[in-house]
Order: sequence, then C-alpha cells, then structure tokens
Amino acid sequence: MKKFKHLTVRTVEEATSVLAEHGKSARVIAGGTDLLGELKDSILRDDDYPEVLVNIKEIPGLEHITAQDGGLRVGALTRLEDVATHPLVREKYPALAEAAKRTASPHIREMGTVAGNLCQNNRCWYYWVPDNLFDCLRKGGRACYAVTGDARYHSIFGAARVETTACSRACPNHIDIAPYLADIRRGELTTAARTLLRSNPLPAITGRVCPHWCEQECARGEFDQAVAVRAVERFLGDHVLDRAAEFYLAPAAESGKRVAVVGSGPAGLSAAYYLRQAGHAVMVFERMPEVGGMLAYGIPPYRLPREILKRQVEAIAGTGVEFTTGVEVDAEKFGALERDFDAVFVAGGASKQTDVGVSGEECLLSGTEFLHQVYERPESMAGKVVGVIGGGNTAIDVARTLLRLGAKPIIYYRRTKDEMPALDEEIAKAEEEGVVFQFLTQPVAAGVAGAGGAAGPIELTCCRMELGEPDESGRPRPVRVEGSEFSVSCDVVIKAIVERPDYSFLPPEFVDQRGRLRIDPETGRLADKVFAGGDFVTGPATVAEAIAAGKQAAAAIDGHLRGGRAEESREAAPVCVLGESFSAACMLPFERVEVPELPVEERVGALDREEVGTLDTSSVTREAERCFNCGCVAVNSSDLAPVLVALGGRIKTTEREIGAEEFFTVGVNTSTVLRPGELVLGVEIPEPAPSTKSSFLKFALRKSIDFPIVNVAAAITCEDGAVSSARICLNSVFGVPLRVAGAEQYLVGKVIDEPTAEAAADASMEGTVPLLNNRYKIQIARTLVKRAILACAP
Amino acid sequence: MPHIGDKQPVSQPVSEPVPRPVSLGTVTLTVNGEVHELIVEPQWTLQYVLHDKLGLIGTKEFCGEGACGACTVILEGRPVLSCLMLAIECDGKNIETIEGIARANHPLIEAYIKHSCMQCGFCTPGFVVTAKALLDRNPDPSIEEIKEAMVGNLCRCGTYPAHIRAIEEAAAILRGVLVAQGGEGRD
Ligand SMILES: Cc1cc2nc3c(=O)[nH]c(=O)nc-3n(C[C@H](O)[C@H](O)[C@H](O)COP(=O)(O)OP(=O)(O)OC[C@H]3O[C@@H](n4cnc5c(N)ncnc54)[C@H](O)[C@@H]3O)c2cc1C
Ligand code: SF4
Ligand code: SF4
Ligand code: FES
Ligand code: FES
Repeated sequence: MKKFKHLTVRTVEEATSVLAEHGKSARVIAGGTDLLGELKDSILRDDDYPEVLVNIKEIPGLEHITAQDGGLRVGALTRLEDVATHPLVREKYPALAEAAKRTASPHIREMGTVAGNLCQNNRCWYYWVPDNLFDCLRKGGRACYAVTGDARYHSIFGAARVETTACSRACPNHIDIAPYLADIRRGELTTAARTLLRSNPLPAITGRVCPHWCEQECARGEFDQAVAVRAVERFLGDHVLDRAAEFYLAPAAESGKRVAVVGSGPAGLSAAYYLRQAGHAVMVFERMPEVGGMLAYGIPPYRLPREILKRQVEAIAGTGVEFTTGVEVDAEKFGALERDFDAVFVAGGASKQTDVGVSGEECLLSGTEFLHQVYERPESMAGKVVGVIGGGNTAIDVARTLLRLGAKPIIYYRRTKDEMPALDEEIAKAEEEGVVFQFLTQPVAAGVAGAGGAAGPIELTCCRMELGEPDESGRPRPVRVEGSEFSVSCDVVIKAIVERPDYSFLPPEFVDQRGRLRIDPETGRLADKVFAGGDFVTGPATVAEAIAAGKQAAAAIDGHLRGGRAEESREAAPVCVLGESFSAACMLPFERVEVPELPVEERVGALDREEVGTLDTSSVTREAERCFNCGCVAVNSSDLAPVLVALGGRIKTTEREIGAEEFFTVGVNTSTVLRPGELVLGVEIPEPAPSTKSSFLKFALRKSIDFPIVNVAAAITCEDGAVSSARICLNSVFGVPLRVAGAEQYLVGKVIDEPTAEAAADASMEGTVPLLNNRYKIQIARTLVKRAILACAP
Repeated sequence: MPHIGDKQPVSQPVSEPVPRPVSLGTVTLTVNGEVHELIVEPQWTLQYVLHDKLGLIGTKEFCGEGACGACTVILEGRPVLSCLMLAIECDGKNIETIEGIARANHPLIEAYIKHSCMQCGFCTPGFVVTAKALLDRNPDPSIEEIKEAMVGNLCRCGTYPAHIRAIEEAAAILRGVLVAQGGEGRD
C-alpha cells in the first residue's frame, strides 16, 4: 500500500470537519474490507489515491440496532454479522437478516459495516486492475472492455452513462455524440438533429471539413474501426439544411439587446447563432463580398461546396441574424460599434501574411491570397510548375487546388511527412492525386530568372535539411546541410505558411507591448463589452475550434448582457439511467460504412466537384448501430442494497435523508450520490404492514465469500389473499439496484401462485440487453424473482 | 451471544475541547495477554505487524484481500482478517493469535492433530483461530453452525471434513463431556 496519513476521529462533527478540510484527498475508512482491498491492489488513478484516511470506527453511537416508531434503525457502523443475528431483525425484517447473513464470509461480516456495504465500490475486473490497463471509462479511460470482452458478471440491462465519452472529450465542441446516435438508432432523426444543433450550429460544414478528432479517439477504433461520426454528422447537417425553416428558428422572446459580430467565419457564425438563440439582435459585419470567412475563401470548394455554405448562412439568417458584407471594420468603425451596440464580438480570423524568411520574398504569392483569387476567378494553370512552401493544411489545399487547375504542384517542406501539421487524411489524398513532395527541403532564396521581367519563371534556391534535436514544439528541429544548395525553376511560387491575426483596428490598450491581445482566457473578454475568439485569438486553428470559441463567447456575452452572471448552463451530473443502451450488433465486429467518394481521375477534373458524398438514411442507421454508446456495464454488488430498496428504507447522512433508490443513483466514480465529505449515519426502515412478507435470495458461485451473480429482495403485501402492493428489487444486474416495475405492476390484484409468479418473473426481464457471455444471468434473475415472490405468499 | 443493540450508546461530554484527531504512530496492542508498545506506519496491516514485527509467524497472509481466512485473528472477541485491518486502528485492543491459543493448550490443538486436519498446514492457524472464536461464543455448536462459522476459511488441500470432527471434539472436551487424550500441553 502507498503511504497515507491516518486520522482517527471521535465525533461526527470532527469527521465532517476533517473531511471538509481535506476535500477529495480524504476517504472514510470503516471496516476497511472494501477500501483496503482497493488500496492494496492499487486500482485507483494516481489523482484518486487518498492522502488521508479518516477512521470513523471510534465514533460512539453509530453502532446500534434499535426499534423506533415501529420501524428499525441501524447505525452506520453496525457490523453485518450483528445485523444477521439480531433477534428483532430476524423476526420482523427477515429479508434484511438473510441478506446480511449471505454477505461475504463470516470474517468479513464481523468487520464490514452496514454503511461500508452500501458504499462499496464496483467489482468490475477490468476496473480492478492497476494502472488502468484496460483503459476503463470509469477511471477516465477510453473504452469499456466489458462490452466486447468477457463480461459474465456484468450488466444485463445496458450501460450507465459516464461523464464523457472518448469521442465527445476529443471534440473541441464536446458534441454529445452518443445520444444523437442513439436517437438515430431509434429512428428519431428530428431528435437527433436537435441534439446535434445544441452543440454545433454548422453540422453540414463540420460534417465535411472537420478533422474528426472524435473518430481518432473513438473506443471502437481499437476494436475494429472507429464509428464514422463525421459522415453521420454530415448526414444530419444536410437533413437540417433541407428543413432549415423547421430547425433554425427565431428565439421565442427578444431581449432587446444588440450585439455586433466582426467577421463571418465559423467563430462569428457560431456566436451569432447562439446569441440570436438567446434572444439578442445580432448584426454580423464582413469585409469580403461573401459571408463565411475561411469557409468561403480558405477551404476549397471540392471539400465544401459553396452552395452548402450559402444555405447554411441563409439558415442562420433565417433566425433573424443580419449580415452586412463589404464592410471593413477599421479603428473608427470599431469605435462606432462599441458605442452603438450592447456588446461586440471580434472574430476577425487570421489572414495577415507573414514572411517565410526567403530572400526575394516579393516574388512569392501568399497562399490565402492565391485561394481568394482562384475562388473568385478560376483560371486554368495548365502545365505550370508551381512551388508550394509549407506543410500545413493551407499548403495541401493550395496544392490540391492547383492540381484541379491543371498545374503541377510541388510541396517544399523542411521536415519530413511525419512532422507535417496537415491532416494525414489530406496528405494521403494529395499524394494519391499526384502532388509531388520534397521533404527536408527549405527554400532560401527566390528571384526572377533570366530577362523575362516580373512575369518570367522564378528560380528558387533550396537547401536540404536534416532533423536535429527537438525544439519547443517537441518536433525535431530541421538543420541545414552545409553545401546542399540547389535551384529549381518554377512558374509560380506560393508560400502557404502561418498567417496572423490583424489587430491594427483595435484600440491600442487591447494589445500589449509584444503585440498580444490582453484577453481573459476564461471568458474571451477584451474590455467591458468587447469579446474576441476563434483564429483571431488563437492563430490559425480549425473550424470546430472556432465554433467552440464562438459558442463560449456567446455564453459569456449573454451572461454579460443579463447582468454580469454567466448563464448556469451546466447539465445535470451524469447518472446511471436505464435505456442508455446499445444495439446488440455493436458487440461483434461490424464493418464501418463506406463513405461514397469520387475516384481520383474524376476528383481532380474540376475545382467545385465535391469529392465525398452524403450517406443515405439506411447507411446512417446502420452506422449508428456500431456505436457502443460508451457507458459502464459494471454492476452494484451490494447484498444489502436491494433489501433497503424493497423495504422502502431511507439512508440518513450528515446532510440529509435519502430514499434508498435515489441513494444508489451513481455518479461516475462513486457508487452513491454522497457528496464529498458527506457521511452515512445510519439506515431507517419503516415498519412493515402486518400482512407484508419479505424475502431475499442470492445466487453466487460459492455460498460463502463470493459476490452475488444476481440477488433479489421482495416485499409483498397481500390483502384478502391478493397482492395489494409489491416492491421487488434485483441487484448485480445493472449499475444500480433495479426495481422491476413490470413484475410489481403485474402482481397487483393477483393471488400469488406458481403461474402468477412465473408471469411476473417474465415481466421483470423486459428490457434486458445481455452482453456477449452473460445471457445466463437473465435465466438466473428470472428464477430468483419467481422464487422471491413465491416466498412472500401469505 | 450479546447483541450490540442492547448496549446504550456512550454519550460524548459536550464541553470537553476536541483534541486534534491525529492518530499517532504509537500503538499499544495487547497480544495474547502481552502488552506491546509499537511505532507503526499508517499503511501497515495488523498481519504485517504481528508476523514481521512481533515475530508471530503463525498468522499467515495468503490472498491478502479477504478471500481465504489464513490471516484470521481474534480482535475483541470477533474473528477478523488481519490482512484487511490497519494496525494503527488496533490501538488499545485485545488480540489473540494462534500462538496464544496454542500456549493456552486449547483442546482444539490436540483435536486438530488427532484428526489430521492439515496436509501442507498453511491454512491451519486460520482455521483454528476461527474455530476458537466460535467455541468462545457457542460452546455447543451444531454441525450446521460449525460449517457456517468456518466457510470463510479456505483450504487448498481439501481438508474440510476433518475440521468438523476436530471442532466437535474440542467443544465436547471444553464442555467437560469428553476427556482430553494425551494432552501434554506445549509451552
Ligand atoms: C472477499 C470479499 C467478499 C465480499 N463479498 C461480498 C458479498 O458477497 N456481498 C456484499 O454485499 N459485499 C461483499 N463484499 C464487500 C463487503 O461487504 C464490503 O466490503 C463491506 O461491507 C464494506 O464495509 P466496510 O465497513 O469494511 O467498508 P470500508 O472498506 O471501510 O468502506 C467501503 C467504502 O464505503 C465508504 N464508507 C464507509 N463508511 C461510510 C460512511 N459511514 N459514510 C460514507 N461512506 C462510508 C468508504 O469510504 C469506502 O469507500 C466482499 C468483500 C470482500 C473483501
Ligand atoms: S463508440 Fe460511440 S460513444 Fe464510444 S467513442 Fe465511439 S462514437 Fe463515441
Ligand atoms: S464495466 Fe465499467 S468499470 Fe468495468 S471496464 Fe467497463 S467502464 Fe470500466
Ligand atoms: S490473507 Fe487475509 S483473508 Fe486471505
Ligand atoms: S492444509 Fe494445505 S491449504 Fe489447508
């Protein structure tokens, strides 16, 4: 065991104050049988390792079994063995006595406490290994191994939601991917689209151009291939654009506030959409003739057809956002905006050229400038040899655009392919299409060759590089090879290197001496009512990141407009809920959908020929079936828990009294709803009606020591021979103790006999989602439910 | 067997200042009647302290996680697993180990030998300690009660049936209905 500090407390107050003082680094130790196992096996994440154990065993008054108001009170520190053997419990609460008696082994019952039993951790064997070798979701990993691996003791009722899935964690926008895929599986496209729009207002665009980090991290990638999230997103994106009037709605109420957005790139569009949704009047100012920023002038039309962009902008305009194009916001205009609007969001992008460090820089064309020109007036460049300097996405976009205009592009990059910042997928496509790459090559000088004047070919002098020690970016630094200079002749040379934002129109106090924005990184705030985001703040990034920045800024601005408070939009904590399940097909290898794509020859034929197609509804539904709906399929294995639920027990803590059912509504890394520092003081069980009978049954491999494979508790009240009410709770079949409502309802009014018990047991098994090798648990659970009911017959 | 429900909770004096709740590393353990004052690290288990610090090597650790009973000792009358018990939490407590039971010449010892309850012998101390705790509380256990009490002790060699006979016999000797044979005691 790792070292920890150990404190023995003697009163409840002392315990709470010590726990409050140490926060998350403290854990309570009662009997220690569960906790010390965790510590000995080193199963916790490093940051979850307790630094302090607070021993509560010496607190007097918490170890008791007493009758009160006809009901039963059991103190938190009461040993399980004492519960099992206490005459009052055995006589009036036989299910509780039996559950305690069937827990673990005699020794553990002598040590283990009631509260410790209720608060015990899950026993998933993938969770229960050091160093998170199985990458378990519940410990912050990427995947639940149990869904595709051996899961004989795991859930038969589906998975519980975890805090975040790997895909949405990887997405800059944290799009809630799993829920909309689940909507698609249920055939509810409208719900799916609305879920998606909540976190991404431009899905038709990201569905085409996003580098899909979600897919890189998708848990399924490790198993066969990642879920084609981007293709599904694109499908939904087109779906909403086809029904823009249905999905892009004006806000229900106007706030009366006005916001100016400078720049109509993805950050500006996203902020405009969310601000409008919040009820504000939004005006977007764009310098160029077309709305879209990089979407209109940077991303080539073969990746993003301009028609899609146009419809997307129209959809947003349909919510009431106003666009003004051809307006350059200079210092004067900026001042006017600050005066006239309640808030200003600056999302001016990054398109100021920088020098590439080549002598004769003036002979070079800038990449973005070249793209602007081409999109406005595409002209054939047949046969021209064009040098492209750079290794990022712009370099690839320029080179692939050149190919489509008939030119022969050559990319010069000073490191190797492995270090290229461009997306692998884009690099592969460029190679496929015939773009030539010169790696480890750095142009050093450019000049117009011969006497042709400015129009003549350009002589580009390059030298070879080799990789040296890593630099600040972690990539190996390219080092010049002495004497390796050589020259090539190009018709045109284009530099496609990092561009910078232009801050010249901002008031000088917004920028520091080193030319950086004085911005609050949390809120994106520049001044009282001025906010900024997107490439304008971060330098060139991606569409998804810009959308995220726009969304974040919209929230901050909305908070500002509503009186300084950021809107509390935090979603409810994730809890174990039924129905978060998956398709049985996802557990087996399942071929990823083929996204329709043009063959290379057709692709390079025209600049505006879109290279990838949209999936149809049936392929999308099929693809949605592949999603694991990443959740946790571990079970709650407590033997006492189902009894407390069936008997309508309540758990008394230092802060409140919680119904047993609610108590186990787990969070991500706990098995209970207890807040940090909250202690269980005891449990209370109401007096059963004279005609109520209760039972507890447990199935385990060995009678002693083993955790339940399935257990069940029932409390059934009969009047005049027929059931008047029934509470039946299964455990070890799902993330939380599970009341089987189907069986409970069925039984009411029935006489308990073999056939009714059988039918109730069948009803209790509705909604099962067995994993690969735990179908047998359904049979056991069914049988236990039936027997537990029969045991309650009057 | 007394039930804790019968006890009145001890009430705390309200006015007394609350001392800082740090468990000092110094603990006093009464092991087999002998008082030991020791300095322990918080993460040391009782099994480790008994076995490695006090040299009471009869208390074995096998699984180390509560699943086998090899490390059983009697703590304040309860048979508990010393591998899942922190020594620092045993301050002021009474502990009985197999050594104490043997030294007291408990009839279980001879009965175990007589009925050949061991093959490799690794699990035996845990069984004997558990059985002693049972007989302390229940001088005349039925076979069913013996089985119930012993189910937490695992024997890799499969000696289970012999234990029941030995425990029954020891119980009879303790109750005086049977005379111990050849019991010379071992000091
Ligand atoms: C070999 C083995 C077999 C087992 N078999 C079973 C079985 O068949 N059925 C079954 O139900 N269980 C089984 N268990 C689990 C065992 O019942 C529990 O470990 C025991 O009841 C926990 O009680 P404890 O006092 O030892 O808990 P501890 O280990 O002290 O605590 C467990 C958890 O609860 C928290 N906690 C304890 N008390 C409080 C409190 N008052 N307020 C808030 N939090 C608290 C602790 O911080 C810790 O996280 C088994 C355990 C082992 C080691
Ligand atoms: S399987 Fe589904 S929920 Fe899991 S990471 Fe992949 S897309 Fe996300
Ligand atoms: S079932 Fe839960 S605890 Fe087990 S590996 Fe899966 S996510 Fe982790
Ligand atoms: S070593 Fe303690 S129970 Fe196995
Ligand atoms: S005698 Fe060998 S383990 Fe029991």
